[in-house]
Amino acid sequence: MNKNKWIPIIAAVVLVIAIGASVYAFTQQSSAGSVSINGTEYSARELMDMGSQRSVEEYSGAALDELVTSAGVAAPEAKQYTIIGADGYQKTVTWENMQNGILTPDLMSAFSDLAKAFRVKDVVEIKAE
Amino acid sequence: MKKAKLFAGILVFGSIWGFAECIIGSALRTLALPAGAIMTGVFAFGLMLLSRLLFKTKGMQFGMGVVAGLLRFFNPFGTCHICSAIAIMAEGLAFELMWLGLSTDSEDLSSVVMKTSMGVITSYGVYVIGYIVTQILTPVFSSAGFHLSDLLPFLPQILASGLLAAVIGGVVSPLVFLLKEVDIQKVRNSVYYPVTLAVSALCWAVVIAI
Repeated sequence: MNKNKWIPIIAAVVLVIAIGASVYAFTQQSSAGSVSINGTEYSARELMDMGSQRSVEEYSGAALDELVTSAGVAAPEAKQYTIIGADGYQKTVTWENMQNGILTPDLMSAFSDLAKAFRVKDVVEIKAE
Repeated sequence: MKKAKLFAGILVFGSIWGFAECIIGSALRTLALPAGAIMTGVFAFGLMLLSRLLFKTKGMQFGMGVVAGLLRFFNPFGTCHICSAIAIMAEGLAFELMWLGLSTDSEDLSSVVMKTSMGVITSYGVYVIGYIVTQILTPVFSSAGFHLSDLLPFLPQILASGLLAAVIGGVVSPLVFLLKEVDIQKVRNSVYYPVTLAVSALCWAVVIAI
């Protein structure tokens, strides 16, 4: 088969993959508004009362390390934390990172010692492992 | 083609690409527009395709990626400069790999369907590869470290977000081909070198100074 035939076919396959992934990603989105920490659901308001306020650049919010200790995570310094967003975006961080991190009132994570890529929007779960 | 003319071309196209990534990309993000897809479809793919058509030289686009990545690296704003810089270089390499089997005189892409198809494939591929490279490198260079378990569940989102880049690439490609008749060889050296060097210097000065 020459290039004049297979290049348009590959382009069509690429578009099908992208559209299929869009449909799949849309169906997998979970609703934001509350965060599950250590198996317990907390509303945004509850979370803001659970940890002291801390600032990271232009953002302020509840200290992430205090959120997990308040949620009853045992031996928190020995664990890694996976922060999961409503769109499936997730980042795993260390306890030291959590000590430099916040959860903003609109449920975005931010860290003073990590890049912007670690800002997970619409956080729905924080897993301690 | 004279090597000096080619290197000046790499420098000016790479500088414009890097300038766009740093300045226009930041502006698009501020406006909450899909900066990644627009930057890849219009600037990264558009400039690489234009340079391939004008200079008809394989390897040039990777060189442009290196120049653009270096400019991104020296941009004083933003975080994880090394990751962004390497991701841009990876985009240049991805273009080279996808265009490896095509002739440099673009005779393979004579019809609008072929031009649009290569635009869709290349823009999507460059976007997805650049995105994945960034998602791997940013944690690698951080204290958190890279976890494959963070990347895999997000792959559908990455593949989905490339749809806009693919569509933009499909539109941009035939438009860029309209400029392929410009013959760089015929541009007088007394005009070519001062213009390319001045434009490159301006791009670097603006990015570093702002």
